[in-house]
Amino acid sequence: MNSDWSILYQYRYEILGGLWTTIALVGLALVSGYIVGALACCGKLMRTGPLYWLSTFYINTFRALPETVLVFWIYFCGPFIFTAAPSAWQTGVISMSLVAGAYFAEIARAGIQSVSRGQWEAARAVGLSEFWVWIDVIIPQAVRAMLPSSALLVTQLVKMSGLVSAIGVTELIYQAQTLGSLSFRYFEFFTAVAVLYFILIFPFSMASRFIEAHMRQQIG
Amino acid sequence: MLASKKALRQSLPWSYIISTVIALAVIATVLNFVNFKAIAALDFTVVYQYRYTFLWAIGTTLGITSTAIVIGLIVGIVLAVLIIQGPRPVRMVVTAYVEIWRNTPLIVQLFWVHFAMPVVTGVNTTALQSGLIAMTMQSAAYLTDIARTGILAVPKGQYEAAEALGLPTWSKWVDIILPQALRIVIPPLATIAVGFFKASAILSLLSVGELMTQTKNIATYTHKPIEVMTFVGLVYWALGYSFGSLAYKLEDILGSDQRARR
Amino acid sequence: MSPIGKPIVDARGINKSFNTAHVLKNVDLKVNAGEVVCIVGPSGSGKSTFLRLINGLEDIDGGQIEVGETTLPGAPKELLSVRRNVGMVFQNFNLFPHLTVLENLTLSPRRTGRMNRSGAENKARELLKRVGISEQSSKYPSQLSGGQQQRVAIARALAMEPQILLFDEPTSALDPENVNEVLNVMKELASSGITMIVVTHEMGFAREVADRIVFMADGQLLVDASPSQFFEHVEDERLRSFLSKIL
Ligand SMILES: Nc1ncnc2c1ncn2[C@@H]1O[C@H](COP(=O)(O)OP(=O)(O)OP(=O)(O)O)[C@@H](O)[C@H]1O
Ligand SMILES: [Mg+2]
Repeated sequence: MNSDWSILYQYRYEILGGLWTTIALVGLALVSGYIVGALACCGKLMRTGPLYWLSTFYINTFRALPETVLVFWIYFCGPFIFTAAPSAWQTGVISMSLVAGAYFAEIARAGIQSVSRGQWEAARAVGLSEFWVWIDVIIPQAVRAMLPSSALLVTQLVKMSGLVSAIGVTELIYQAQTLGSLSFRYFEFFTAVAVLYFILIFPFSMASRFIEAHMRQQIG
Repeated sequence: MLASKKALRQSLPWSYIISTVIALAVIATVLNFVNFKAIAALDFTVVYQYRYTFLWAIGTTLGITSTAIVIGLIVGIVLAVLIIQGPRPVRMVVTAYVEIWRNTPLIVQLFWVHFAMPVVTGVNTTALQSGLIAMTMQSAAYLTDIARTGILAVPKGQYEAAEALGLPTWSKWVDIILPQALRIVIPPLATIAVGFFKASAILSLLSVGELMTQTKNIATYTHKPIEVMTFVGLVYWALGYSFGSLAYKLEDILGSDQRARR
Repeated sequence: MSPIGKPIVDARGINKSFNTAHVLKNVDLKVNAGEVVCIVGPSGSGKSTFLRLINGLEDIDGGQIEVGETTLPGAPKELLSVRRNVGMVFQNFNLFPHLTVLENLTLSPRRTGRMNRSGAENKARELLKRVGISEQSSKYPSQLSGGQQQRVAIARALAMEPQILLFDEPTSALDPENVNEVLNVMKELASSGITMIVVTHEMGFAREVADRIVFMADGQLLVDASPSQFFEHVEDERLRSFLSKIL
């Protein structure tokens, strides 16, 4: 086996471009996912009514469907079913945001419900209005409880971002495939890309584990 | 949990009106973009027409998933025992393997196995073989972690009892520790299995020939992507959902079993 | 202050159900300003539920409670004004774990616009001194012992300068060696003239401090008597059997 790692240096701009696209995809999906997810979480907390039903349908659908199916569905069926035809990049952002939102809604709901009943009662008993009960007591504690699973959501989105190479978004995997087939240096490119993904993902899964252990220690 | 739900509900009476308005606005926005002519023209007979292809493809998906889980579980148990008991260098190698395969995307692993590994081994694999290898190696990594958690959850007294009885090492593991650990890991194992069933759709990026590959083929060939992909989405959803409920049932049964034994 | 003769808490014909369980059945109780009333009774008799109706943590199904100038059930605004006039101390302290001791005390006075930051902090320090933990004001609740946490909770309940204090088994979750430090704080409060309604199993405390002791069983208020009457002269079969178990 003869490998030629200098080829990575030769194509460094393409690889960095792919890396940047991957990070942008994940960042955009996270931001819009938080917004959509927070709304869907509110819907879930209502426990009845149109927003509850809509949120439940949304969360169940987008958590249960394989991400691959979603990406292809939006990309191939979107132009027929909708009057707007999203580009590959838009499809990537939309599908990842919708998935992020569905998972984040569940994370947020679990976080809020992990705050004990005693905290609600104490906050009300000291005379806080409902608004400040949420702002001062419930949300700060819920956010803490949400941190480990939120970090895992980031790893999940980075992993998902590779899928949109299939519809032609020029992120890391797309670049590795293209460059690999141009130069027949698959080994070098895919190894490099695997390392980059590891560098993106590993800190977040470590953070998740660390925070979780830390919180368990505080409780125990 | 349940009690806090009640405390929470007190907080939300006024918000029902606002939430209803938001829900209607969302629905209206989506509907505004829908092309109803296209929906009226949908023709789902294509699904029936290709029923045998679909059935075969579903079988392939289930086959790949279960192969990956079963082999992964066996490998995972061995690796977990190595992590707990093996000599330090072995522990480090196994831990590195687990971390690498858990912290990279399946799709990269798939392409790496298919395109890069032949450069190392000199053996070319078919798409299906590559898919199986990648899925199995990843499931082994996840299941090592789960098996390890399960094994460590077995109370220390059980190890001490096994040693006090003078059982040989293999018997300690096979007769005492692993059967108890297996009980503990069944719920997370089921969750992982559903996850892998979903993830197997990624193999279509290599055209492995499982359900999503055939879906794309049929959709392209018949020019009916909406019918085909919506149907397949339902299939994935229904199968994943039934596995999920099965897992809950299993958890219930095992849980009550353990309670009864206490 | 309420005029002499008019009770500060006046519960009339209170009924409360959870699903099919009828937990409170036509309960009447009047408490005058400055009185200390202890509620005792077997587990599940509805003591906590009754206490939680007084500051609106549970909705009243039937009857009404006058608290100071306000009547429950009432509009959200009235609920808030009742809660600001009634402090509550819980069995499990329920301090806010993400806030320091000082912030636990100043949160409500500041958010309700009753005091500004420095005013609230001065008041909080004074209260912490009163319950004997002035050194811990910048610590988090998890760094304190159970007894200290419960004293912080009492100080927090006092921070809004309420007319009425409710205690729900304030010493039941404490280690035995911490019980007295909390009871002593409560005794000091009782002698200061604030109105207190205390659900407790501490019969010694009730006998020593209470103006009246009330016995609840099965959702009904069966006995309402002065301590000496309560322990020696009341001939109620259920009370006798309860006392023989607990004493
Ligand atoms: N939120 C609730 N939902 C359903 N049932 C409840 C609820 N809160 C209390 N109950 C029931 O109401 C009854 C009275 O409860 P309560 O807590 O008032 O009793 P208690 O006298 O305070 O008992 P303890 O001495 O054990 O604290 C119990 O049977 C209890 O199970
Ligand atoms: Mg109680």
